[in-house]
Amino acid sequence: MGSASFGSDRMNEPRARPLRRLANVLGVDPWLQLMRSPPPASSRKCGELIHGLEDVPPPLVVLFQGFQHVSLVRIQLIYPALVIQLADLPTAASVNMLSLALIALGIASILQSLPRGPVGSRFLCPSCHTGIFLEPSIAALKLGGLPLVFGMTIVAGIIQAALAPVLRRIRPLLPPEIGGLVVFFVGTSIAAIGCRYLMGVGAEGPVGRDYWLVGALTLATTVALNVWGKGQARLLCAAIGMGVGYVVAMLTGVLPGDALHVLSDLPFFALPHFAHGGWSFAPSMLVPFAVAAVAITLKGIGDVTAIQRINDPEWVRTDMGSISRGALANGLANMSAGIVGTLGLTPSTASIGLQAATGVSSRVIGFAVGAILMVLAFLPSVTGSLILMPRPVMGASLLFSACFVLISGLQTITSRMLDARRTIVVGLAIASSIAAEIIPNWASHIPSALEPIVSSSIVLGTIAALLLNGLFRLGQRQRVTLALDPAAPDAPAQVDQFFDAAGRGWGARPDVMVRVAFGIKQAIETIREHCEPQGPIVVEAHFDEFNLDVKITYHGEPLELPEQRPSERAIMETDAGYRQLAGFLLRRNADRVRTSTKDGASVLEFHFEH
Amino acid sequence: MKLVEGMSEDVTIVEAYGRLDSTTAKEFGDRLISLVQSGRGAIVVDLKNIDYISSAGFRALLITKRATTEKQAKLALCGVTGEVKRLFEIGAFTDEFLICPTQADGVGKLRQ
Repeated sequence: MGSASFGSDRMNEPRARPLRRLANVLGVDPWLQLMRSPPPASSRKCGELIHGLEDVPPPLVVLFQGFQHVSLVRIQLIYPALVIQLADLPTAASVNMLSLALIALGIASILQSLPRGPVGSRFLCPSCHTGIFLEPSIAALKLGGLPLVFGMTIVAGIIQAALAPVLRRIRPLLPPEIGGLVVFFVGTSIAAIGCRYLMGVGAEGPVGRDYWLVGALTLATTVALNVWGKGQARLLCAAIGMGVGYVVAMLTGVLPGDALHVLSDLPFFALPHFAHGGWSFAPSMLVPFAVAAVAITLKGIGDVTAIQRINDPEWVRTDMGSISRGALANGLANMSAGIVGTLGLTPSTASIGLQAATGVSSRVIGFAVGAILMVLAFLPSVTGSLILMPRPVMGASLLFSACFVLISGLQTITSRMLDARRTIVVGLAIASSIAAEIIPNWASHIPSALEPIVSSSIVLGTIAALLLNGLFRLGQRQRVTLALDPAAPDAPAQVDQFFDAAGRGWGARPDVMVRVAFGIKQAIETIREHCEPQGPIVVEAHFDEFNLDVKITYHGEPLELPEQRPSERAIMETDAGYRQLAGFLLRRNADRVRTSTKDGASVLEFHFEH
Repeated sequence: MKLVEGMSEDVTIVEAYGRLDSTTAKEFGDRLISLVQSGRGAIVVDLKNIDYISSAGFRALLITKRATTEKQAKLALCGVTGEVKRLFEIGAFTDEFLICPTQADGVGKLRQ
């Protein structure tokens, strides 16, 4: 299996590199390519994928890949396990709730993989539990117990399902830096909970040397495997770290021996029962869960975009149809999660990384993942150990997860050009979030109805960001114009300053703005040298998050934009060749170009995908 | 545009700074050709401090390459990274020149 896959890799080397980079970014080791199976004789594959979206791999491959995804998804059961522990339920009821969580995960995976219809991203897109719902769920648990957690999870699902069809239209209100901010806030929230658990703050039992030793060894093992580990060990570092934590906890008595007897009493096979305490709803929890719904929607945009790129080597832009259907599927999955009785779900980023690393993205595996998860729901002894997870183990695992969530958020925030307005939005939102986290009773004079907003770092930071972004959008022009004197010696500098300011105002991607600035400077230079322009050269630019269009209007000879580069000899010896080289560069630099004449003026239009 | 010249044994190194466009390309090309015509047999042009190159800059480099070939001299480019590298790629110029990662690589290549 291994040798065949490497042979295939060499053949596809040029296309393999971007996916490997994506796999690395997503934190999954390319070692997993060893698990690829030989490509089938006939299938529609994209790039170097061994089993593409529409392929039906051999049953063993489906099963093996299915278990790989399930092993990644199961790690995130730590979030419902934590809330279940806080609810202090009897062991049997706790284990039953984890079984129900597995059923919800199975439904979510199948919904995302549906090949047609209005629901589902139509990709292999397993779901997992997420820290995004942790803080609001804990707050709901304290306020109204598990029924309120489940009821509000249903509400979050309804909100996400309602957002799904209008995602494209509301995208300007949710720019990438706000998505990054929300992820960052979630990271700080998980880190704060992780630190409390790791240090034993609020623990019921004794906290001392043994307690801290369990946490330290769990964290050290997880980090060491992630940094220096290889292959499977690195991929499953969190699960292995938890395992080490359990063992040390048992040896030191942090996990009492009699607790384990409870596990041995669990049946190997049992039907999960859906009788939980029902559902309840509270208006005061609406905002925190609405923010969580927005946050997982924003995260989902990034996740489904990543899957699109894996499945399409020629990917140039986000397919919003797939993203909207994926968001709808996630909304329905969260409604079902609340109905069966578990926390909210989101697409599993680790599973996306696994696809990039293995080159196996067949949709069929999504159904296999769903089926495996549902079968596991009938095996309480397999998942029961999660209920007993010692607090320091949980704290170490949460802290480890928080590292990646925090940095992912920061990277997204800084992936765009930020002007003063956007800098203030980001800065004030972070300051608000930190205030809610570290200053006790900081908002004691605020009406109690607003308490769920001001007491949550995620909610307060996100609301601050959304309000400030909405405020600063007032007067923010999406269309900007520059009139250039062709004879001005500083015309290139004017173009640079113009597009730098516009890019910061729009929050544009820096790499796209560099391309735009080159194209306009090259065009101005060529028009000035070869087209005898009369009067000013007018540059108009329009931006809408997905498209950046620039129109140059001048009175002078139209530019030629050849598809073939002129010969070296022509470039060096003739004005026509030199001019054609400029036109060739302009054509290749933009995603689309067009020349025309209007009212006696020459018009040069560039389109850049954003 | 600023040009800084140096020698590494018998190889001339020219570091270019700033913009390589229609206002600076002539000065840049003329200086390189004068070096070739004065008998410098091997020249490494370091572009790592160039932040913009237009069609005029590519034309100057092509003319310099032709001059070195005519004089049986050798030319290498280095520091072709980032945006300048992208422009070499979209202009299909990466195969037209001997491009080395660093000055030392360029000197080593030309001294072979």
